[in-house]
Formats: sequence, C-alpha cells, structure tokens
Amino acid sequence: MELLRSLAALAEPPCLETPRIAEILRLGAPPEPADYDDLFLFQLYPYASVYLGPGGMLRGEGRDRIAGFWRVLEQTPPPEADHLALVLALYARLCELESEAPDEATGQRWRHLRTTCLWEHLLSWLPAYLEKLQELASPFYKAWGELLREVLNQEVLELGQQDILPLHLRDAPALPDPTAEGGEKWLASLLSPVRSGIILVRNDLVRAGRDLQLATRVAERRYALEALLGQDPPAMLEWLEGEATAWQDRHHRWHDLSGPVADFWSQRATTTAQRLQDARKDL
Amino acid sequence: MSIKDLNERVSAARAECEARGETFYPGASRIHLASFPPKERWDDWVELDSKAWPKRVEKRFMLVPTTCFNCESACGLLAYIDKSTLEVRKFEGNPEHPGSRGRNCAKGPATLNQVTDPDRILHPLKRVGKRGEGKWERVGWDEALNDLAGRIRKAIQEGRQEEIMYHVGRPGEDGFTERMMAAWGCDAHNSHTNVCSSGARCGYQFWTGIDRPSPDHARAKVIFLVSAHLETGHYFNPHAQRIIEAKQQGAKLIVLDTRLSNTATHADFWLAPQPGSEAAIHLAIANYLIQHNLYDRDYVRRWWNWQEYLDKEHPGLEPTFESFERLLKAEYQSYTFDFAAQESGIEADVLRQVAEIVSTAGTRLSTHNWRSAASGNEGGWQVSRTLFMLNALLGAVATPGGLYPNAWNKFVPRPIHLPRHPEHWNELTWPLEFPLAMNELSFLLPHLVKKTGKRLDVYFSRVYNPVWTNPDGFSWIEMLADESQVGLHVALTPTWNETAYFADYILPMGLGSERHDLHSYETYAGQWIGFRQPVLRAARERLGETITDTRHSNPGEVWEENEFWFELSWRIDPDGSLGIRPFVESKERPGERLTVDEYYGWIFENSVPGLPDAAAREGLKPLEYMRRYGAFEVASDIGPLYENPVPLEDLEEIAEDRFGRVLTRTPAPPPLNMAPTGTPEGDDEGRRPAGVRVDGEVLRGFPTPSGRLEFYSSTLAEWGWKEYALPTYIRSHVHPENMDEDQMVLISTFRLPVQIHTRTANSKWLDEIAHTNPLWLHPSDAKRLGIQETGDLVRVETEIGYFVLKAWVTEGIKPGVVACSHHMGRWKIHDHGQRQLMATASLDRKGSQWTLKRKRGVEPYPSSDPDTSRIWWTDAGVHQNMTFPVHPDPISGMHCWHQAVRVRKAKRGDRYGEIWVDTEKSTEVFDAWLEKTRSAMVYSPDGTRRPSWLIRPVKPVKAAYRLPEEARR
Ligand code: SF4
Repeated sequence: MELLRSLAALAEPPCLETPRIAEILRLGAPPEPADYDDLFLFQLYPYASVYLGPGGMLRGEGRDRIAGFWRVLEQTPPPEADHLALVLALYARLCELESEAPDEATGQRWRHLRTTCLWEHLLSWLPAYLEKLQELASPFYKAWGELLREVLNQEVLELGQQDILPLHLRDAPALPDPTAEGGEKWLASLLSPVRSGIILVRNDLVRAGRDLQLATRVAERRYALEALLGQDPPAMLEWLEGEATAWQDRHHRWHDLSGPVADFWSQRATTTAQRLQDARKDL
Repeated sequence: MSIKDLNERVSAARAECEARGETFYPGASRIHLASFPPKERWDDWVELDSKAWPKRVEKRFMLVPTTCFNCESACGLLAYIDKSTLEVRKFEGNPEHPGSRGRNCAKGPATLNQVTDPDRILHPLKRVGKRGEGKWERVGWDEALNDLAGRIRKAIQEGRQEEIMYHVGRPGEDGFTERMMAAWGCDAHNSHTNVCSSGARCGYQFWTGIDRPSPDHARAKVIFLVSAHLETGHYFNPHAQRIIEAKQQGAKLIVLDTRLSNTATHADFWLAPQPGSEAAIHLAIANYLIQHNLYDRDYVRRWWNWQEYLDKEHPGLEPTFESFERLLKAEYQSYTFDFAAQESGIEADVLRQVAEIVSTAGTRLSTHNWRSAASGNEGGWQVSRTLFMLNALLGAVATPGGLYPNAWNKFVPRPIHLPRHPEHWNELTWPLEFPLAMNELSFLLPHLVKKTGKRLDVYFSRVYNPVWTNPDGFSWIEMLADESQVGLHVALTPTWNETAYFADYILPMGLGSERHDLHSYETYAGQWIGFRQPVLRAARERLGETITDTRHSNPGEVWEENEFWFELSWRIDPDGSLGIRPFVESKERPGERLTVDEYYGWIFENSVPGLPDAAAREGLKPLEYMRRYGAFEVASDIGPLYENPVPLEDLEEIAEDRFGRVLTRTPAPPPLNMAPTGTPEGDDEGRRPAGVRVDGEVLRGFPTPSGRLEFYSSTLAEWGWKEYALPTYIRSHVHPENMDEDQMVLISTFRLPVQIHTRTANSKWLDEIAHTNPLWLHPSDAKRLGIQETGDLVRVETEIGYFVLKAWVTEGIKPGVVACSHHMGRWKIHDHGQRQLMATASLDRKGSQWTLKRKRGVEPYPSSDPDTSRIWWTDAGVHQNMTFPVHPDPISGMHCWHQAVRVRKAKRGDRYGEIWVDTEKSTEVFDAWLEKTRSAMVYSPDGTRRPSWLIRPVKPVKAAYRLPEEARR
C-alpha cells in the first residue's frame, strides 16, 4: 500500500523528497531537520525494541523477534530491523504481495503474514507510541501520526482482531516488586514501557523537575530519574503515580483500535500506579 | 480525503514521477541508530565528561569535521572541541561522510593521541653539529623559508632543476604538491609508490588505462581478495564495512593469503598459496571459464582488443571473433587446476570449487589486489592483471557489484591555477632502464646517486621515512649523511622519524586535524570529496574570529603544507621572473599571495558539480558548507562510463584505425574530473582519441591506446617484452626453483590492524595494543629448525645481512614460509624520538658493514601526559626492512618485497632486535637486478624514454620524453 510506504519514508530524516511527499499527503508545511531530531533522536526513539524490550532500550529481544520475522520472509534483516520506517515499509510490501498474489492460496498466505506483522510488530507498541507522539511532536509530525493512526484503523477493520496477545506482550515481564528486587531494578523497569505501561521521555523528566521545583540533570533518563527521586522521594513518587494513572486512560482511548492490546498496556499502567502508591506509603 | 483516495493519490504521484525517470522515494534507508549527534546540533553539543566520572559534569562541544590522515582511505572524522577551552577532546566518525559513513578504524580516533603526544615536534629545528649527530637548535620559520627559497631559486636560475626533489609517502591529498613542483618547472616529484602498490597498479593500467581498482563490494555476489583488505588494507574501513554488508546479503568471500590473517578468518574460502603462485591460480580459474564457455562472449567480443591481437600476432588467421576464441582456448589450456595446484600447494579440487563459485558471480564479481602478492614478487604485476582478467571475462567491469577503474569512482576537481609541464626529465626518478615503471624508482635513489654521480641540492622528505620504510635503509643513511650527495635535507614531518635524524631542517607540519587538504577516494560506485581542515581554526572562525594563517590556531609553531608551499613559492620568485609567482597569486587580489580560503573557495564554487546548490539550500557558501560538513557526494550510482556514446558534436573530421579507435579534431573540453588516467596519443594531424567504435556506435571506451580493454598490450610487445604481452604467469624470484633447499620465503608486507607504517607510532592507545612483530613460523618448521617454542630467538638471514627476533610458532602460516610484519622496529639513536614505540639503539659502521643494536626497549617516562609514566610494554619490535636489498621489478619498477631467507636458531651472542648489513652486498644485488631490465636506450620503439600514454604523476613537456642525444646516436 503506497500510502503506508510514504508514511514510512517520512519516518526517516527529512531529505529532498520529503516536501513532495508531505504535500501529496496534505500534511502541511514540511518539517525542519531539527523537528525530526527533537522528536525521533532525542525524545521518542522510533524503534520497537525500546517499547517492547524488558530493558526499555534499543536492540535486544524486541529487535531480535522482528528480525526473526524478516527471516521468515526469507529476507536478510537490516541492522535496524525494528525501526518504524522499516517495519512500515515491510508491511506495505506485504500488502502489495497479497494484492499481486497469483492465486487465492498464495494470497491467503500473504494475508496471514500481513496480519501477523500488523498485530505482532506494529500494533503491539504503536498505539502507545502514537499517543505520546501527539503530545511532543511539531504540527507536521502530529499530522503524520494522526494519519498513521487512521491507516492502522483501516487495516484493523480489514483484517480483524488477533485472537491472542502479541508474543512481545505475552512474554514481557511484569513490573518487579521494589521490596523484592531492590530499588535500582525497579527504577529501571519504570523506564521500560512494556513493563510499566508508561512512556517517560527526557522532556517528561524536565517537566517533573519544573513541576516539583527540583533540579534536573542532563543525563541519561535513568540517572535523571534517580536524581529527581533522590531529591524529594514522596513528591516524585506522587508525580510518577499521576503519570501512571493518566496512562491508564490514555491507553484506553485506543481500545477501539487495538482491543486487548490496549487493555494490556492499561493494566500495566494501573499496576504501576498501585506500586508507586504503595512505595509512597512505605516511605 | 479518505484513506483510499489518499492512497490512490500517492500511487498516481509515484507513477508520474517515475515516468519522468525520477525517483519518488529517497532511496536506500538513511536511518541509523541515534548514535551520531545530528548535524543541526554541531554548534552546541552537550555530553558528560567521562573523565569526571562518577561526577556528572556537563561539557559543551562544537563539532568540526576533518579527514583522517592516517591512511589513504580518507575517512571522515568529527573533532569534539571543548567550547570552554577550545581544545579537541576526542575524534569520532563523521556521519556526513559518504565513504566512511560515520565509521572509523582504531587509527582514526587515535588522532587525538598524535595531537597531544608529548614527544611531537612543535617548532622548526635546524641541525647544529654534523648531520645525524642529533643536535638541533630552534629557528624561526622566516629563517628556514629564506634559506630554502634562496637555494631553490639559485638552482632553478642555474638550470639545476633536477637537483630539487620532493619525496612523499602517502600524500593524503590529490595532486596539490605535484602541481606545486610543476609550477616550479621541476620534475621533482618522487613518491613511495614503488615500495607500495606499483605492482598492482601496473597490471590494472595495462588492461584499463587506469591504475587502481575500485570494487563495488557491497553489491557483489562473489568477493575475491588477494590481500588482507578486510582487516588492514589500504581501504581498510570503507571496504571492510561494505564487504561485511555483502556477506550479510549472502555474498561469498574468497581470500588468497598465505597467512591466516583476520581477513582470511572471515572468508568462505581461505586459500593459502605458495607466495608468488597467485597468478597461476587466477589463470586456472580463467582457463576454467574459457574452456567451459562460461565467460560473457558478447562482452569479450565488444570490449577486448582481440582484433589488434590477431592482427599483430596472428596476421595469417581470419580476423574473426571465432578465430580469437580458438586461440584463447589454446593459449590458456595449460593453466589447469593441476598446474595451479602444483605451483600453489592448494588442492586442485579446492581450486575447482572456487572457480565454480567465481563462474556464478556474473557481473557481480568484485575482485581486489593491492600490494600483497603484487608487491611481493618479481612479475607481481601479473597478479593483478590476471585477477582483472576474471572480471574482463565475466563482463564484471563497472557494473553493480563488479570492479570499476578507480578514476570513475573518485573526483578530483580542477584547481584555481593549472601549472605548466617541466621542461626536463629527472633521471634519478625515471631512469632509462625502467621505461614502463608505474612510478618513480624512489627506493633506488641511493644507488642511482652513487652510480650516476648526480647530486641533490635540496631534498624534501615529506611525512615519509625512507630510512625505515624502504628496503636497504643503511644505503639511505649513507646517502643522507653525505653532504656531497645531498646538499640540504628538509624533513617536513609532524613527528620524529629515522629519516628526520639525518635532516638539516625539520619543519613541523600539521596532523590530520591541523591542515588543509582535499581528498577523494574510490570507495563504492560513487564520487565524493573529503575536506581536511585545521579544526581549531575552523572552530574559531565559527565563533567569529578571522584567521589567515593556520599557525595561529595550531599548537606551537606547527604549520600546514598548503600555506607553507604557497609562501615558499612566493619567496622563491619574489619578482615573478621565474614564472612561478602566477601559480600562487590571488585572483581576487592580484599582486597578493593566494590564501587557503581563496584556493578552496574557488574550487568548491567552480569545480565541484552540485556543491554550490547544496550549500545554497542551507544558506551557506560552498566553502562554509565544506567547513561545516567535511565531505560532499558528487555523484552516485556510476555505471559503465565506457559504454557512453560520444556526442556527435565531439566527432568532427574523425579518423578511425582498422580496429575502431576513433580520433577527432574537436578540441577536448576542459576536464571536469582530474582523476589520473592514461592519456592515449592522438595522430600527427592534431586529432585526439575520442572513443572507440563498437558494433557501429562510437563509445567512450577506456583510456588505453586501443580504447578497449587491452588483453593484448602492444605497449609491452613494442617495448621489448613481447613474451608478456598477454596476461600470464611469471615465476617469482622466490619461486622454489629460484631458491636453495635451505631457504624459506619471508613475507614482510603485512600490516598490523591498528598500526600504519611510521605514522601511528605516537598513538599511545594503538601502541599499547600492538608493539611487536614476531616471526610467524609453522610448528613443522620450528621442529625442523630446533626452535622449541614461541618466544625463542631466531636469526633471519637475507642476501645482505640478518636480523634477530622472536619466533611465534603458529599453524596460521603455510609450512616453508615465514612472515613478519613491517609495522614495527622503530628506533632512535639520540634522545629525540617517539618514546612510546621506539627502542634506543646504537648504530655502528665499519666500512660498508653496519650494525644496529638495541640498547634499551621502551620505558615509562614522565611527561605532560600522565599515561607515559604508565607504559608497561618494553618491546618495539624489530626493523627488518633494513636487511632487505633492493629488488626492482624490471617492468613495473615495484620493489619485490618477498625475501628468500635462511632461518636459524639465534647464535650465541645474538641479541633481540640486532641487525647487521653489508651495503657492498646491497650494491651487488642492485646491479644483478639492473641486469634484468630492458633499457629504453635499446628497446624504445620510437626514440622516447617512456610510452607517453602511461600515467606519470608530473608529466614533462613532450620534448623531454625524447631519449638523450647519445642514445639516439
Ligand atoms: S581506515 Fe582508519 S586510518 Fe584509514 S582513514 Fe579510515 S579511520 Fe583513518
């Protein structure tokens, strides 16, 4: 599907072709490279592994599973197999292969793979990602995210829901118990969206510092979070609890699109809110 | 608009765009891990200071690109300049560089060590006391420049141009200094190429008219390397990343390397041949393709010069392609797998398997030979020539995944001034005995000076260390120490080296981040330029300062060569009477000296297609763009340019020979790309070669005399080497039949992955990793020689002396062959030197007999860098090259590096690192090899010194090509 392919192209750094594609898709004034950098390089990394991996970081298991899907298709996985642009382009290709299939059986096979790709590798994380994107992006990328959401909606209408939860989610470990696992691991897991159900980007931590009048350190997120918690633990825990509670609802907004997936994410956010509340009480 | 409508709208736009022949999408994915600071933030980039750990101290950096100067790959670097101190804190890759794509080998980031090296030379020095005595005084640049300028001016005025010589190692730029020498009217350029790559170049030049290969590894199906390129080669990082990419896509990697190098460990097929047998293997594969009709017949028919071959060598035969095919089959039938197996020691079955794989590559065969076997063996130039034959048979020439001639994959822009051609011929660099040599016979200089009685008045060694790098270093010391042979020796170098000890002036030149240069390298099927710049100068200019002299931003009084040569030339010709001044004069401000800003600004504005537009899109001037990004891709997806039709307007009053070579009277347009190529001759009526007729159409063809791929070289045939007019196998000087029973082949040409000749000796990170060069010895040989274990001392005897080193007993080398890397064995005899990787030695001479003995190894020492007191290694390796005599190949002129040696257990009293040589024996070996040559005096077919079409870095005027009067008589 050409539209998906062009949306994929726009998830790459802006280049000469970007204004033309943007104009065709009626997304408004084309983005500046700085808009792209701010969104995709500094805040919301467009890699599935960041949102689906237990460490909340690039690569690892999340990426390997997607690379495995490329291999099933007899393709050599590119080094960044889980980048949104590549997964979208791959999905567009699957749509194309299905429509070009010489017979029904082949068509069915492509449709099956297409459904798998949609549910396992896109819808497993994209709703939460696009939700956050709406909060952070420049007008161009907001419009892009909105259009992508509509397209995904259309795909779900066409392909239907998947019976079981995506493997990425089924396998995702829950948030650890801070009393059992120790503070450090617990802290790290808050930054793993698939475990905590919340997405905390750099800007969020700056916002926390501002809201609570704490000093924010420019550093990797885990360190910055640790620094904030160190300064005023009850306030920061409460702030985080507020975030988690908000995420319960934010995930729910996607229920029409992704059904059980949205429930899963929402449930994770609920547990996190609960844990944070307990932690605050235990102080 | 509904999703459906939008989808249709995109599809329609794409179709419309592609119907116009344009691409709709941006092409290959440009995403990468967010590991590079985006360029929009290069003015102000924040990172935590690693040294302050565990405290979190923020550092603000300005990121300024430059180009690595450690090898010729010219990878991009990004200097991280601390904004609070304006010091470079680290170097990383430049993601904007199309060749290296943000990646480097270990040597790139280690540029930082070189910049901060406490032993580097920061001020101009002048010798006091005797030459080589090690006593120096600091002098000002003015004094040095005036002394040099006066001396050079006098030599030029007195017609002694050939007494001026500039001797360069790896240039790290494209032709700047060659043009400067030409501007002086001096045939003064002397390069290291004949100890480096002439062998391979020669084989490529005879086929294509262009002397370097440019494989498109990334898109290849089969990669065939006769080298250790993946790990250490000349194109190390840019090629390595593309070879791995191809492997990930399923390409097969075949490596010919007698050692189990890191490259060999990545191969699907590692072939460890007897050194010197490589061409026999290539020909066996070629023969397999030929006998089984697996070659691209149509390609061979269209592009090989088979008609010329039939006409000149088989005039009685019917001049049809079928006749040629029959001859081809007959000519190569003796190169069976059994023959190659016998020569190489590799099983015939394995060779057959490799041939079968090659035969499946089609036009996606990327082959590469650079140095290695071509530089090791007499006749080594046939190694690259027979390797290229595989591409020529399959039509894998300038195809995706195939092999390109390099001139099409690099871009050398036209400079602001184009100099004249010197009017004389320098016989010290281009002696009559070597009319077909690819490059200057640089390594023979001490012998030629002695033999001819000629002298050098001013000799520049430039970031080059012939005493250490060349074979027969003691003969170099003898020449350099003798003031009657070398009047004044000027070493242009950023660091101490063994040659600089014998200089009269040492003039400190900038490192990779302290100098301007423009460089382009063949890396893939595209063209790019990389800009080297003094990063602190660029940073301060970004902050609003005006800097007109790089010395003002470099450490100490370190200068850069561009400004140095401009200024020296200006002083040589203060009144313009020598005609030099116009070549270094400003166009913008006539009467004033050219500046680097004007020099590069002019090139970027006028000579690089696409750059002014790209810069304008960012609101920058072209020079500002290059200062900001450091590199620019001029073209991508270069195809087979030789297939391009010649435009009709270029075909005025044409003449055509019977093989289809088309000459035209239309004047040649000024070349856009000045990358070196052959320059085939026109006719006596003033026409120039325009193309070649192929199947009725005039196509651009190759820059060879015939315009085609020259399977048959009429040049070789006419200049006395008829027996080698076709790609064939020459038995090396280290072929078993040329060695005694008790001799072994010593391979001495390989690198250590993290070092690069003498250039990286002051990189502490690299020295810590690699600081020794033991002798690779197979366990069976160790047993035979009574060598117990790794670490035992062995003595290696060459034709002229011996060296003593430690054995490394390993199965990673073929039995009967030993190997030792040339990257080690640095020494100093006085206090000055790179103390991190130089042993302290004594140098003794008794007549023609020289001894170098290690007095002390490397030791920790206090300095401005606390790390120097933490040096834990003592070894610095052994300097083997000094014990090698010169072996000039009679055709390519390449020094044939492999040695026939005797390896013994060290004798009583032998000490590690000891070297002994008799230079009288060196002279005998030189004379013996000179006997092999076929001099232009006897063999020139046309009264000239050299075929004028062959590449020559500086080309003198036509008249200078004429043989000297006495020879013509
Ligand atoms: S390969 Fe290494 S040494 Fe050579 S230019 Fe690149 S980074 Fe520098």
